Amino acid sequence: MKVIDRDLIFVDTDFKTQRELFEFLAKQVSESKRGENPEKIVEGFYEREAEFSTAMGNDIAIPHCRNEHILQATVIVARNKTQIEWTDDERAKLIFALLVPGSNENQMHIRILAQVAQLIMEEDFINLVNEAKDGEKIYERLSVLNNL
Amino acid sequence: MNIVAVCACPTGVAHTYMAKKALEQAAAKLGHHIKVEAQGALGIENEITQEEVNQADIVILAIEVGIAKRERFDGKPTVKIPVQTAVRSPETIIKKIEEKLK
Repeated sequence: MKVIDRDLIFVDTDFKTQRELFEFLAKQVSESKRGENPEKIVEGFYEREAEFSTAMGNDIAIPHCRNEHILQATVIVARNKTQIEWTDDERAKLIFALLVPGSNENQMHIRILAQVAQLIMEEDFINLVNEAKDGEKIYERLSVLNNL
Repeated sequence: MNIVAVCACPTGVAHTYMAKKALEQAAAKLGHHIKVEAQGALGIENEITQEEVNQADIVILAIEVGIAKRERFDGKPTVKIPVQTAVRSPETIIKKIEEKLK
């Protein structure tokens, strides 16, 4: 199973709240057999946010969950139609979710996630995600990393 | 300026590497030399040697967790910042250091 999958790139989603988003992400993970126990995955996202917010300005957030309910390292991209309230003073619209297995980590997969994280820092990539008509273009750019 | 920096976050997967990238981009833009070590889920990457520490003007620690081999930086001028500050406003940090070292 690849870290980046075309079926896990969503454009123009319509989430109103962070919880709605986290539940959607957890459902995608469990339905694709990349994880199990969606409630625990949602919890994992919240636990991580409690350490410090994963919103990073420019309407971008990178929620992550790392626990034993994740079976396969995975990236999910969601471009929401509107801003989601992330914390009291932070909003997010471009979501890059990183799911990391809690054990038996595949170092190559971690390396891919780390590369995705660095790509998010590049203005050109964020412009591409903002402007893409559909998920195909985003997938093309990201999927290169599957073959590190 | 000659900067060395270490990045480390709790999960060690995302912010560590984003902060590394952010500091590298900002230093390049502002005309400084930087070497950034990442201590994350992949272990220590791009490790800073004692000699590089000795030659550095400033040490930036963008860390949320304890790091390995911290003793390398004993006695050096050090700025400790939250890792998300390095991700969000790397240029501001470097400019502040420029002011301080003037």
